[in-house]
Amino acid sequence: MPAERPSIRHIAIGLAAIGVRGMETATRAGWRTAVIVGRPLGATWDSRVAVGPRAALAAPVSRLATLGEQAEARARDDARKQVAAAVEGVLTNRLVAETVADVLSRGVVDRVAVAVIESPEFERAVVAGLDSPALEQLVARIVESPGLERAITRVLESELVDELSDRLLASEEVHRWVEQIAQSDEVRAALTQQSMGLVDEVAGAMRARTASADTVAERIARSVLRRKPAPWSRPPPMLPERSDRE
Amino acid sequence: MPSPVRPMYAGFVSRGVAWVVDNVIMVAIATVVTVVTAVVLNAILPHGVQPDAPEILATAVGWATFTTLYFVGFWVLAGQTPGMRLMGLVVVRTNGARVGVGHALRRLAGLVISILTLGLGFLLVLVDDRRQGLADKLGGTLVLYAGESGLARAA
Repeated sequence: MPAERPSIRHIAIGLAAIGVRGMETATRAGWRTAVIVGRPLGATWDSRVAVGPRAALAAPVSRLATLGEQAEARARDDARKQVAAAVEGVLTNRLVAETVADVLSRGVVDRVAVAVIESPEFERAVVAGLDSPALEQLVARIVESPGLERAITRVLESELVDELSDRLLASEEVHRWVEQIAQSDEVRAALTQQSMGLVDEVAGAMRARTASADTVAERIARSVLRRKPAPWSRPPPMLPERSDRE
Repeated sequence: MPSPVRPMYAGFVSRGVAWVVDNVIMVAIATVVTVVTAVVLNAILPHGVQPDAPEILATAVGWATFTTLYFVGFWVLAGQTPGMRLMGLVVVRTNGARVGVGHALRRLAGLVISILTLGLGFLLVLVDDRRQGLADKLGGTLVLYAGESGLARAA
């Protein structure tokens, strides 16, 4: 069977494959050589022998680092300015303003606020906050602080308080409040209860005295009539001592 | 020396004060009612009210009725009159039960007899072991200090 004649394309592909394989082999060999040679070179570079070359290279490296830092700072500054401009653009955009107004007019914020307030998580957070020892300590520190005491004393001693109390006492609104409070059922009930308590106290004292007078009058009457004392005025029989009972 | 035991039966002085308070209340009410009635009748009748036998009899009947209603009503409904409440007293039957209308009416009759005998029926309280007056004997009742009025103890 006669051999088929190879095409140019196949020959080119074969040559390329050989080339790639050769490059790969060469690269590996080069890398191994670099590793083998690089170790003593690195040690030599770090040793005292290479002080001169290191110093010669230090200046241009430092300049490069400085240039890099300056470039980074400029980039950050530019980025900040761009972000600020973008935010300014958003805030001054009429569409954003209209959207916010639309959201407010539809009561979205109210609904969200109500939902947040009515949520058990919010309640738990508030309760946890109120129950936290940190809040208690903070309040205690504020209350016990001499600064607060001085401030309160200063306010109380100022003429502002006198003027405010004079105005309050002279205002009709306060008079109406006082009248409403005085006529409220709760206050009347409290006053009645207090009055009844006083009556009960007086009556209790009178009862105790008349009860004693009962006994005295009875004792006198029985002695006049030479009758034996009432059963309750006789002392109860003495109980035997423990040793007697045993 | 052990102290004497405090009796649960109400004595002469406490009951006397309660009796006085009740009479003051009744007299005050009766006076107001009588005056108002007289003023109204004097305004309505052409010749006014003449203090004659029928009017006096009507007043007496009214007074007796009011007294009966006052005492019997309070004894039966509340177990104490306002005067007894002020003095911390209650009236119960000798078995500790509430006072019924029959017992209350008999007790009221005893009160009337005690008054008619110049208070002798009341003085019986001083010498009776359960501090019962004539009215209590007739009505089958006891008067107790309110704080001591456990029904079991009254029996």
